[in-house]
Amino acid sequence: MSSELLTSLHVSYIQNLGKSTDDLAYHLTAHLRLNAIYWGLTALCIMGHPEALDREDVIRFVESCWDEKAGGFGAHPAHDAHISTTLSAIQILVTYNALERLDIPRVVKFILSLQQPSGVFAGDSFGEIDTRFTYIAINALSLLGCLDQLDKERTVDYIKQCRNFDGGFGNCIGAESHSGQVFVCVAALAILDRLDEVDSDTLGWWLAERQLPNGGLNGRPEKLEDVCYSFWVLSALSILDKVSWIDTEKLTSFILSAQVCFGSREGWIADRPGDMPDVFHTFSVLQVAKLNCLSILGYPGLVDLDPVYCMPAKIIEEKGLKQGWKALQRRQLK
Amino acid sequence: MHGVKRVRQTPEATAAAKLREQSKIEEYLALTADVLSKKASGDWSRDAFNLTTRMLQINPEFYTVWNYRRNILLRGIFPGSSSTEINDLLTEELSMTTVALKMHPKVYWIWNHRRWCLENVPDGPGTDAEGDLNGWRKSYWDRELYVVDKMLDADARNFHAWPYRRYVLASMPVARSETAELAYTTRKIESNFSNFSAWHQRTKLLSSLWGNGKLDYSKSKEEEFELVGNAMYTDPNDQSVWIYHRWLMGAGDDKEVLDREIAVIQELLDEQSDSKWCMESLVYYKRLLLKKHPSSLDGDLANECRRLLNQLQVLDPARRRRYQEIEGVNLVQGFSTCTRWAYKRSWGAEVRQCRCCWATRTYLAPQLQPLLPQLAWETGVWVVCGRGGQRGRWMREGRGRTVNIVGELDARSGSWLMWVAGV
Amino acid sequence: MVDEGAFDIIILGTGLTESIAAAALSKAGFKVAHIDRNPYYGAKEASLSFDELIQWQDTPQPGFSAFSRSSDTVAQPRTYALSLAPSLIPSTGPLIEALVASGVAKYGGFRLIERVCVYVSGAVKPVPGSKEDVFKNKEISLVDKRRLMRFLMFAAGEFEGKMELTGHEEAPFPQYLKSVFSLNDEMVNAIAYALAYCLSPSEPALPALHRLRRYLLSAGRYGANPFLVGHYGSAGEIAQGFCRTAAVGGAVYILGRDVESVSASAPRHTVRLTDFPDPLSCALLISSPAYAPPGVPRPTPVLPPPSASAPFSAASLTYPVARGIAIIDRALALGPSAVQVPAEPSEDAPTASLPPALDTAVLVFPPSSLPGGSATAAATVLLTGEGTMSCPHGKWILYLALPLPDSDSTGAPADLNPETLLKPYLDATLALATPDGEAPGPLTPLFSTFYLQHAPTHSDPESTPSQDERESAPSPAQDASAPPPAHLAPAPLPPVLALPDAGDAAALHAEAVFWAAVKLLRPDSDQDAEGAITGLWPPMEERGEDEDD
Repeated sequence: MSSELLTSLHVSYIQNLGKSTDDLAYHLTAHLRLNAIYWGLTALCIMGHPEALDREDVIRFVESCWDEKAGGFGAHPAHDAHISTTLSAIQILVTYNALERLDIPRVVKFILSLQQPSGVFAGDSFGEIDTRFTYIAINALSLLGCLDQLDKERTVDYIKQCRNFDGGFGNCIGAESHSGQVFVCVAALAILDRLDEVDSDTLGWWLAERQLPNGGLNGRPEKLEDVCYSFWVLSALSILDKVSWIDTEKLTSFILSAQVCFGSREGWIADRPGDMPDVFHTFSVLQVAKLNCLSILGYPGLVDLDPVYCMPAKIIEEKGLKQGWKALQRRQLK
Repeated sequence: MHGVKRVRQTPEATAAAKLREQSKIEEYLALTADVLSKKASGDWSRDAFNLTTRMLQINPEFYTVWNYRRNILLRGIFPGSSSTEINDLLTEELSMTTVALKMHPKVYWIWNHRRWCLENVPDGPGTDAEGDLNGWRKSYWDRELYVVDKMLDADARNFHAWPYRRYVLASMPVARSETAELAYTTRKIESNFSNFSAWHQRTKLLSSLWGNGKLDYSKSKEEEFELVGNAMYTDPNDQSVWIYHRWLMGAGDDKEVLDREIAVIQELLDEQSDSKWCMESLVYYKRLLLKKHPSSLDGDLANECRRLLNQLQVLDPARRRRYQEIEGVNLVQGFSTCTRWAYKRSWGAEVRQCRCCWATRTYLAPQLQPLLPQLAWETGVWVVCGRGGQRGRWMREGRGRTVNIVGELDARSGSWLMWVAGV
Repeated sequence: MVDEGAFDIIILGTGLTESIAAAALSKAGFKVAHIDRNPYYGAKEASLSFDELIQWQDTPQPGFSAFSRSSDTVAQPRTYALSLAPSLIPSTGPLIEALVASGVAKYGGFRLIERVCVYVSGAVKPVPGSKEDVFKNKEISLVDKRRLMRFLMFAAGEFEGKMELTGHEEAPFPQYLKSVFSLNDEMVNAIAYALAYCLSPSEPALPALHRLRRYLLSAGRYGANPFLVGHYGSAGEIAQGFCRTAAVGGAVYILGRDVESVSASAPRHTVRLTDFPDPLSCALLISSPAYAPPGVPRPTPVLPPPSASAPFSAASLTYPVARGIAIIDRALALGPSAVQVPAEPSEDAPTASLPPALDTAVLVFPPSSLPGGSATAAATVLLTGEGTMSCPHGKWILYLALPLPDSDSTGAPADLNPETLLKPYLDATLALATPDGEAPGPLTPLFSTFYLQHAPTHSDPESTPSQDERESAPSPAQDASAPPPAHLAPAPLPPVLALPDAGDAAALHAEAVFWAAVKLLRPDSDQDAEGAITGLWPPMEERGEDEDD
């Protein structure tokens, strides 16, 4: 168990992800590949090593995931387009400043076609709805500079209806507050400049109470802590400028203690200290969730993350999209 | 996996596992290639359908294959089938996903597929004239509720199952009564009241039952207070209970209830003097009293809150800053308890300033609101720190001290009520 | 040529302790012969059919006396499995571990106790033993709920060294609950007698807390209640299950044959049985306290290592106990059955319908709770119905037990009449029967019997050896150059233990016997060597490599 961030291990781990073809789990998670590349690339940016992956290789892979029929991106060549993987593709292209390789009008059309009469977005043509997809749509449209094409009132109206008395948000109308959904709704409202719809005192209270005595954060009342949830909660707090409402030192050490060095799987991050890192999380979220947390927490040696867009802050600033979130002051390397 | 503890393996075991893994990978990749190429060529045959079954049994997260499977049904199989045959096919789909859900209760795509199946149940078995047009649908949806019950028996907090349950309840051709569902949440809560999901479900049901008059509002509300009070006294550390209690209290318009519940919690705190949630809730409800019923207060509430907030900072240091902020924003000065207000008009706004402390309340007329950010007052300047909308925080700098001002739009008068306190 | 009569170990008596030890020793690879003079398994813990029970009562039984019964017959006598040692099995603890680790659990069926009630001024009240029980209970005031929960959390946690305990370890438990946790009388009674199963108000706090913690932590493993009861009379059937496992491991069983003589000629014992052709021989003789084989010196008593958390810290108790068994044909109204009947039938739900009435329950009478009852001891009534496979449909068996702390001595207290002592308890219990339209009025049992169980007198073979006997026991060597072959005996269990403790006590005694035997027969056994005996039970056969890896 290490109390320091093993940056070089993380970097080489991400570099090697694409080479893990002798691992069945690698193939079983093909449906998450594009998301995984986005998370990996973002992690590398946060650690200051965006060059660790070959730019042209990655862009070509993104292009190979294009679903011509639908006008969006799938997770992998020959997989169906989905709003989530489409956002990942856009985020990767934005990170590499390569949006010219994208048929923006077609993608925007695809995204807008998924909005339902109620205002919420579906994930794909089969119509699963979730506030996650609303956030994804808003994030993507904003990155593409096409937010003006969105029916904002209708969109915000649905999010408002998902707000619960505890200040949090659920994945659809009537659903229980959940920190992942809180993050997506708050970030979506932040991009739309509608944070006035958030009861930030109540939500800040609910979010702050997610912290457990070991420093980790849980996703809902009376549940176990988890690195993923820590990230969602922390991002939401950061957008609401309430990071100081939790014990950030304890959270930092919780996250560092969830870093494992174990056999060939060095550099993996488990969801909580002592647990086996699992492929899904490592491929997709955990690694970055952890780094993102540390970035927001001002951990030394990391680059700022924009918690609203979940991308390197510098890129978002350059695009003039920065919202009023606040991270902790970055500490100096000792 | 989440929650899987690490175990060390011997090198031999690892090597053997590697070999087995290789053959599994080859098999899996061949199957994937087969399915995707059939899909690309628009193959809507039974064979292709069976292939998707195999694929999904291995990897239920392969969403593209679920999509393909539905397209095969829609384009290849349903068109040539009778209603009865379609019905039988959907029955098979549902039992296949039941098996999958037992193994993978948190895979979105499986839940989605069930939804799709249920939404595609044909009319029947009879005709409209025979009166059982909904016969199949009815039995499917009844059964679906039973499946959700089972899923929630296995994991009472399953985040997919609860919204799905609401969806099922809303979709059933013959609606189940909300009182029956309320009884279900009671059972869930009785078997474990840390189950906030069940409490949450209750907030939704009760809001509806109170709204449509199916439950007597005041009687039912008292019963809820009794239920939650029992839970509170049984385990004062359980968040679910306190969050639900807060919902029950609502905006705090009923002063009698506020007073009574404050007394109940105070009594619990007397019995359990280290209860953080008692203190936290007391502060919240007492502040609510200050805010909602300022006319009839005894003078000491703000001091009590301050004392509790100080205790909380010690007891719950992780959230120390939050307690400090609450204290700083509108309690340190205790202005709400002030009765000795001096009135003056300034810049078209009515300003009340307390003579004994430094607290100020300002009412801004609606026509002044656009000016708010630029509003100069005396020699200081108000700087907007918050964002637009109905709430905001302003900071005033000047005279060597900083004050916090929280503005709130009074919905009735359309005026801004500004809470001012020094830091 | 293999001598078929030659064994490593001969065990006399098939009580639960001896049966568990036999199974463990047999599984460890020792050649075991297991002998009982009775034609049934289980000895003093046996499960008997109705007729066997009558027969058993009509034969002199050391440690039992003062039998009385209402009749000698009952309908369908063979469908009853009546237990001589009614008890509960905690869901965690030495007995359940032994049942699981040995595989014996697979042979037998078990049933969860559905309800535990305490008798309070003429009525029964449910005993709140968990957070959910406390939450749901409508009779306890809010402040009392808080106090009760605070105590339960304390008792379920690490109370060692806590401020609430320091200095009170020896205080009588009920007194302790009252003074330290401000609990009212009703709750003190429920906790002390129906949660911690204290026998009397004088039990000290520390052991009661240890017991209570084990029970509290047992809850939730197999269901809400921490206790199970075995099918077919529980203890006796379980003893038989262990014997069966021993036999699978190669042990030889000889029932219905008494020991005629034992001759010790180093290094082996030769055991002759009545009406049995060939003598048997062994290197180690293990005899239950009920056997005092002629011709050999007293055995070395084996006691489990003392431990504060041992299930029977009151092991030194020699309280006699008044016992009663009654058979009734109407359910008791102790509240609804805790077993959930599935609301909607479906192909997933079990099709067999569960008995609607309460099938297993415990009713506790705290001291002074009943006019005419004891003021110094708690009486317990264990109810088992057809769901436990121990009686026919529509019948229930009641097992009554009242410890007699005022006659704390060995031998049968001559002046005590168990029927008189237990009658008020039985009547109070029968008065709780569900009303029956066809047969109004008080319930009359179909059969009832009463008797005393007590520590054997010094003249009985199984009396606990006194201190000097213990010391002299191992060294009566007739021949100094050849010490006599080893002879062990598990220390006898007290006549009465807390309802959930008898089985765990037997399992701990068995474990002690097992290790004593291993030490004697394999003195050089290296713990680290290949095939060394490292545990009471060898690991169960692993299932194949997980395919889902």
